[in-house]
Amino acid sequence: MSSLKLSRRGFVAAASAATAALPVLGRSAFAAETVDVIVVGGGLSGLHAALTLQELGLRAIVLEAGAQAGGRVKTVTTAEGAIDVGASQIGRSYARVIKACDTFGLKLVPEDRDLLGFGAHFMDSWIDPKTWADNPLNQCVGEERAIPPMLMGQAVVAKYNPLHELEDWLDPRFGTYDISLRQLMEQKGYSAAAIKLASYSAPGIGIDETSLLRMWQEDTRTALDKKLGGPATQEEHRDHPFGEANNRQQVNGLARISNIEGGCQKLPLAMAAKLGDRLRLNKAVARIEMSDTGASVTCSDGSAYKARFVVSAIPFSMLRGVEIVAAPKPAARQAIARMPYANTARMYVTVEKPFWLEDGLPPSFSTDGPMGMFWAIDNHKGTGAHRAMIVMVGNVAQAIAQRPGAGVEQFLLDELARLRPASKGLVRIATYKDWLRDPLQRGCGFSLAPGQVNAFARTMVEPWQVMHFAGEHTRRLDFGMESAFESGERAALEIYGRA
Amino acid sequence: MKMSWILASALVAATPGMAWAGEAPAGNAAVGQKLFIQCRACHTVDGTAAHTIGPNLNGVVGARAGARKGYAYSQAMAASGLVWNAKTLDRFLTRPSTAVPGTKMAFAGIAAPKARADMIAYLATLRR
Repeated sequence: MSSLKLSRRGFVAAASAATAALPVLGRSAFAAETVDVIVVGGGLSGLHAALTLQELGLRAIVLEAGAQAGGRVKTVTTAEGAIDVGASQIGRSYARVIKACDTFGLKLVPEDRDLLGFGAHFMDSWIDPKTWADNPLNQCVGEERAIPPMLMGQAVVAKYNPLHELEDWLDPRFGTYDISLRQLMEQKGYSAAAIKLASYSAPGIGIDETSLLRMWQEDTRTALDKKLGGPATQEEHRDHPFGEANNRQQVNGLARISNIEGGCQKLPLAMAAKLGDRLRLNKAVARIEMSDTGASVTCSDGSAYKARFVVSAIPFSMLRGVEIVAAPKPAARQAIARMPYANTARMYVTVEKPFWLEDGLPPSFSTDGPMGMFWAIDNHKGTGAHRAMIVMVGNVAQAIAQRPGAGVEQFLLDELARLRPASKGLVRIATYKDWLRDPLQRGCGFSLAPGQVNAFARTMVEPWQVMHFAGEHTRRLDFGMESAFESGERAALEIYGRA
Repeated sequence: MKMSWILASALVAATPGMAWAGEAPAGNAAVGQKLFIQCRACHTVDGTAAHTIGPNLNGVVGARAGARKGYAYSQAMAASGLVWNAKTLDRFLTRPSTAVPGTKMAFAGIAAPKARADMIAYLATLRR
């Protein structure tokens, strides 16, 4: 079976090489379905691109490698109910997502994920953030001493953000900031102790791995979301540093953070239903061959499609596995090959009764160890079963993805029990998700290494012959699910402008 | 009767195929209506529709910027002193954050002059 596939693809490649001077269209030895636009990838950006193209009068099909649409929007059915293991948070400024939910009759409900009070387990000790400034373990200097240890990274990132407008992160005026958080902290004279603490809470992949401009893009966009909430009338909870208590004050009928009732994957599934047979599942694209007038796309099962345009709506972590035969475009090749991906891994659990009442330690906590954070979620009663998560981001998430798969869940339970013996026997696993290990994603979100904003981030979204780029990694102004919609819309309109 | 420059440009912009002051391509309102796909998540156009994330755009051409009742504009927009005509809209739609720094309109802009002209032509048709 696999040898047949190989020989077929080999034959196509040989045929292509022999006739390289001819236009792409009409070249394949196999009958290929011909459409206006082939969208590669059935996540939010690809689905939105296809639906928009269709509305603009162009015939588009979507080739999705998986058995289901949705990409990094994924709702898992567990014994504990439906759990969103991917994107789920919808802010008040997520205009296109909100509009799509309205169109498809999906109900937005205030997110019910307020975290119970936070502490920290650093340097083998339990640390109370309130008395950290006077803690003998605190080796920071001067003003740094007052910053809670688990907030150092994000506190420094926020403090020095010079960006005002949403597109400033791409403005060459700020190109000198295409450096790491460590470099910034060294420039600003932070102590070695503060830099070490920041390495546990740096946004993105890590203190050395991610450009400050990428961090500030999120930071600046977050500020806009807050602005749309109008003047804050509800006091923010200072002891909820990671996903603070939701602000349920209704602005335009929405809390600060909403979820889709019944699970967020309902949105891509509704979009998929609207596309009908124009969405092709289990179609992993293996090869894209382009000229200036058309493209031929071949899937790993040997099926072939032809179109005037292609939208790449898969992450570069996946596109780098697709053979692209096209005119030279070094910046695109470099971006596709080298863009790093961040990871998020989470273990979703139910705590049968609140062990924090028994051991007297803070319910939620950050660590400087391999389990990252433990988030205890308010059940609004205080007693009985609580939902909770072990949350790994940054380098902790990169590391957990390298552990042998079978033992990860037990390892995390054991690590929790080591730090919190009172949790033993009370924690039930609902599900576990590691996005770097997902063979169709290879990460939870794009990153840019120091130097890569200047090297290719500004131009990497420009069309490559007839291929246009969508996906959250091609965002310009937005973030989260909204950035997927932003990019799909952009790609569709770019093509409409050329068609 | 003296026709204001603003109204005149609005009328010109609304007329497909007519060159506008020799400096911008003529707009096609029908194409502009299609391009409005990228605006509609935030802006309603029907005269009776409510503001959503952005203000309702009925009657925008000829109107003073930041002046629609019932919409909470950014301070920058409210204080811009702009009047929306073909010229100011063209500049704003090129890159909103450059034309009105501090605007809360999260929109990258429309690069192609013809597409902006089409959009403005469509906006000029939005009359109660």
